[in-house]
Amino acid sequence: MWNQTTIMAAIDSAKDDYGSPVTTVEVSFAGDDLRLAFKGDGGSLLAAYSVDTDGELTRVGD
Amino acid sequence: MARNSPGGDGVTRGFPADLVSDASPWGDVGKWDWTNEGTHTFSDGVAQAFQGINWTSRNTALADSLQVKASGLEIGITASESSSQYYWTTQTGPIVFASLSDIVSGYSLKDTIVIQCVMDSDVTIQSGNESNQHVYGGLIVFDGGYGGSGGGNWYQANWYRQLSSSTNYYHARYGGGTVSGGGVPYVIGDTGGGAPAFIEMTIYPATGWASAMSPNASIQDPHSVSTGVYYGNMETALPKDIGSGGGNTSPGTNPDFTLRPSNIKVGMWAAYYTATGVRGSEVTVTFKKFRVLKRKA
Repeated sequence: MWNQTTIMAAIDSAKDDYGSPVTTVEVSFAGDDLRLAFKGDGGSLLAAYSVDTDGELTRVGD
Repeated sequence: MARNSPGGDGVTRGFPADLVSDASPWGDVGKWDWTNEGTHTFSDGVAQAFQGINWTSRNTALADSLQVKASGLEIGITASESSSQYYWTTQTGPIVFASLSDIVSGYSLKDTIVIQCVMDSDVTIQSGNESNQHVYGGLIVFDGGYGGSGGGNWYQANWYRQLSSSTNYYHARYGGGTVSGGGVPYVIGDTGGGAPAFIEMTIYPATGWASAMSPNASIQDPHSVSTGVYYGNMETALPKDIGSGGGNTSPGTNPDFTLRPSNIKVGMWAAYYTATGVRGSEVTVTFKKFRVLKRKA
């Protein structure tokens, strides 16, 4: 399911949801789901998302 | 060198030259200006000496061009070659590398090493299926594994671009991992402009590492670059307990890390990955310089 193309599509989808420019994205994995962490200056967490294998996006940690 | 004592006692004392003339904690142990080296076309697995150090290429058949020439060490990949990538244990990007212990005399776990490169990257995009095409190039630290089942013992810092976008990224990633999806984790950072042209990796004792990258195409002092800074650890052999590996977790024994002075290689690489569908573009990564520094004791 996950390859560089699908991961980049998930990142673009999460960026659209976030709505503000993001420069740094950390990509990790939890079970079958992709985890995306948007980071700001100094490594501060701006937002985190979980993306399932159907591409459904969930903002987490708020 | 002689200096007057600040105590004003009129006594002139000698100070060791290295205390007054070189405050840098880093010492050069090897540097290559690929634009001034002798021309050479690599054959897969065949070492070629530059500055007295053997450099070897792998995955050579997945490059259209893998050579040292007037413009530098060039890795060119076209649509005619099969897809290549570094992902988990897949290590198919064309690469030129050397053993770090050949470069750093007496290299041991006590040493902190920095490797740096200056590079150019160039992409020629043919329309169609661009979102499924991805290009990369930069530095890697690994155990020499390569090919479709390379073992996964690697970490890297590099330029990355998806061909459907003009965005250039700093990118850092590591291989291996025993869990499902172990190859997925990575970090990207929008450069805000051009591709990274300077890449640095700090190799700490054992398997810790840090990267720094910049679009500024000049050699820079270690740890002076503040962009593309990422940190990681690449350890697949040891359990969480500190120890020697191989089931021995007794503190005080010699660690047997996955990557260690006896097996670490450092290299320059490129890859052109097509996730699915056709590919028709080209990427050329040209390494201009490569430098290795060791932190002074």
